[in-house]
Amino acid sequence: MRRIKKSLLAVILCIALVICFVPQGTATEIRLGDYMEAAKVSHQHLLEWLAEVSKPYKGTTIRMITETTPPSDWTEEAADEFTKHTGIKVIVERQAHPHLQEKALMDFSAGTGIYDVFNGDYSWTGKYVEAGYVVPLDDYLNDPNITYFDYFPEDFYAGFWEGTTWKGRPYGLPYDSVVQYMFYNKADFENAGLVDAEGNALFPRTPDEWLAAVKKLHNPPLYGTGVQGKRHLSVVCEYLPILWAFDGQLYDENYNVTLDSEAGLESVKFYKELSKYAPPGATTWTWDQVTTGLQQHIVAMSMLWDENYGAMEDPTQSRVIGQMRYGPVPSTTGKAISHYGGSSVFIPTSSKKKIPAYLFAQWATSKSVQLLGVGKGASPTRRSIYAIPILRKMYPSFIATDAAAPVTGWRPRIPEWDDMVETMARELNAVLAADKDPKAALKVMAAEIDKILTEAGYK
Amino acid sequence: MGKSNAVDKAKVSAVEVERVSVLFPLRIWVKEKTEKFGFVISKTERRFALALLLPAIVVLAVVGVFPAIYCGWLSATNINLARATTSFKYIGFHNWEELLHSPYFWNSFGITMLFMVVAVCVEFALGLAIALVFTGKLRSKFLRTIMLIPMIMAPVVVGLGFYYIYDGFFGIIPWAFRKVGLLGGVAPLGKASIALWAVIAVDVWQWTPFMVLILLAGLESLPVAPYEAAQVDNASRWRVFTKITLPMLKPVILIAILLRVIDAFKVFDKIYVLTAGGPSSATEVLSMWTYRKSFLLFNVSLGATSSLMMLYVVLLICVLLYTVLTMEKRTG
Repeated sequence: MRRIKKSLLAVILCIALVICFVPQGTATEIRLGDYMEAAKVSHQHLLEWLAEVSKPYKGTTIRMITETTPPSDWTEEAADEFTKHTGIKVIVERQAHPHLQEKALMDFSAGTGIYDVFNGDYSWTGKYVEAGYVVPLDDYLNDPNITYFDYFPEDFYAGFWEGTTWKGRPYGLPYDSVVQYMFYNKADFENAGLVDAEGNALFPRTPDEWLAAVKKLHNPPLYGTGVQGKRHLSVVCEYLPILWAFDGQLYDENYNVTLDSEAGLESVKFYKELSKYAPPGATTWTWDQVTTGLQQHIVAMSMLWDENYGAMEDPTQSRVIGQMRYGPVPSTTGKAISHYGGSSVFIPTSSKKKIPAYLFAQWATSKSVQLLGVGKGASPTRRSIYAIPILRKMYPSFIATDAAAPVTGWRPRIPEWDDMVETMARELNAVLAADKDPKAALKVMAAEIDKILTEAGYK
Repeated sequence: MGKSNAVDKAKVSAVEVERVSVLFPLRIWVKEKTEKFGFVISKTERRFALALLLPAIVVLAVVGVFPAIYCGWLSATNINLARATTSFKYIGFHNWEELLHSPYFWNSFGITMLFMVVAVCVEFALGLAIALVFTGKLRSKFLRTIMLIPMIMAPVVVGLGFYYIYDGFFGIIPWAFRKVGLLGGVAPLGKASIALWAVIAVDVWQWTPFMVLILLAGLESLPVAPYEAAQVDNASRWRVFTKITLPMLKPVILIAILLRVIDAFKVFDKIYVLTAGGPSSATEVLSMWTYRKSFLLFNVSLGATSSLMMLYVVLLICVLLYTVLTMEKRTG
């Protein structure tokens, strides 16, 4: 505790020194610089500690498998620094979402020990833990010889941390926040007259307002909304918040399927109606194409993962710099709806280099590394980073994520979730792209999900 | 005479020894084939030939025979990579039962057959027409060469190229459709009623040159005498085509169709890149269905069962076509 207080005191003194002695520039630059300088100081402490504890593992090579997302870009970019201080070489292998599981499971099931760090979707936790493919981290976290005294896991959002615990034991360190909510182009709203009394963009709060706004904004070549309509996990991820917005659920606490309720039907009909205002071919889109659509100003608004905030502000590519605003999914219940889709780093059971892997995982999820990566791809998972005022000003999505993270909705984490995704993706895509009757699609989904849950012994 | 009898007896004994060898049938087959072509190969040369063949046989056994046997074993278990693979069970024909009772499997089977029949028929018709043009007035070697370009491109590359050509927002085809008011400018890959035809069009674009190549070779090897006789008899061009060209070309046609049928039945890469089996299940051919079961749901046992089913269907088609081909040879 004393060491934690010393570290915090060092950080505060650094900030004070920098504020007093650094030449005055614009207010924004100085304040961000203050935080970054403080981060570098505490980061230096971390690196010195890592250099010390990693001595027995010098010369080791570890391999991380991760998704092709901006946080992975940042990790790969910064990994050289980890290697420089620890002598542990890191190979970061990036794969698209479906291939990530394929390759990881091949390795884990065969026990070949190729991968030492696995960036996995939190919804896979049950599957991987029950199969014995990942190790619990409580022993590691409780060992002061390999856990940095200032690692501070309490700083992670509680929902992110619990997302990768299973039966009370932690298995993952939250790595990529990934909360899905609404991205709005405020300039389009203002141009379309969707403003309040003061002339500020007025974002919808209910599904009816949402659809009305989409219709008003729809003016090709600018389309009212993007839709992640492909037969893919993306269509399921986009649909779930809409279901919740209509106060629906997949199943209740006793695993009785409730998807085919009135709320379910209204939500699917709404989704179908919304898709009519998306660009042609949106039924082949995933989150990647929606990101491009928003960034290139093809669509005025859409539901999307917060980790793509950087793409909206990228000066080399974005056509909407400074225009994006963020908010919860409009709902009928008044609740702030969002969808957590984050990932954590796990240590595979088959890894033969668990300690070096754990040291790297700590480094990748430490506050300083996440803070230094803001704007360079990092999608932090720590509350303290989202609370920094200057970052909230520079990146408005931080405000939305900070508000959403404590109450964000989870998708199921049971091992049978992939089978449910397969059914839902097929039927939802059929509604959007094959004009299948929503009621018929819901009936099929509900029946198949019920069968999956029954055969798995949940009811 | 006595010495000759002794030599003959020695030869007979050697043959008797050979008969019990497992390689005896192979040796006899090689001997018959080589003697037919006028070669006489000694035992040493045969052994050397077999030794040279051995690496290829081993590779074929490892990548062909062993996986087929392993597939058979997998299909009798309930292994799922996403569950602990140490606790699997033998379940006999349960996977086959699940497969044959699955409406989604049969949907994929139907889509595969439709894809195969339409694509091969169109490729054959177009291929024959182009081959006839190349044997007629247009004998340009340059055109024949550039015509082969689609065929030598990797299917994944073709798929990616057409993915962007078909893109609803950027693609040239939807743009052209919008300009002429056709289909409401819809993105072909995003509409279930059109997607399969769009994918078939890509396959036709890529593999028609293959048909052209084979049929052109067949046309250029046809004897001239029947055509001269037809000319003397003042036969019309259509009559020449239907009564002389087509019958003589039949064996070549059957071979070309056989090769394309095998390939079209197991198409995967183009479908994966273009639609991944969507929209809905509109382009979910058997190979995509098998891929989903094996690598998205990790039910490798069911995937193995589906793979075996595909193998049996392809074998059946090959046997049928080969039977027709050999019947043609015998009657022809």
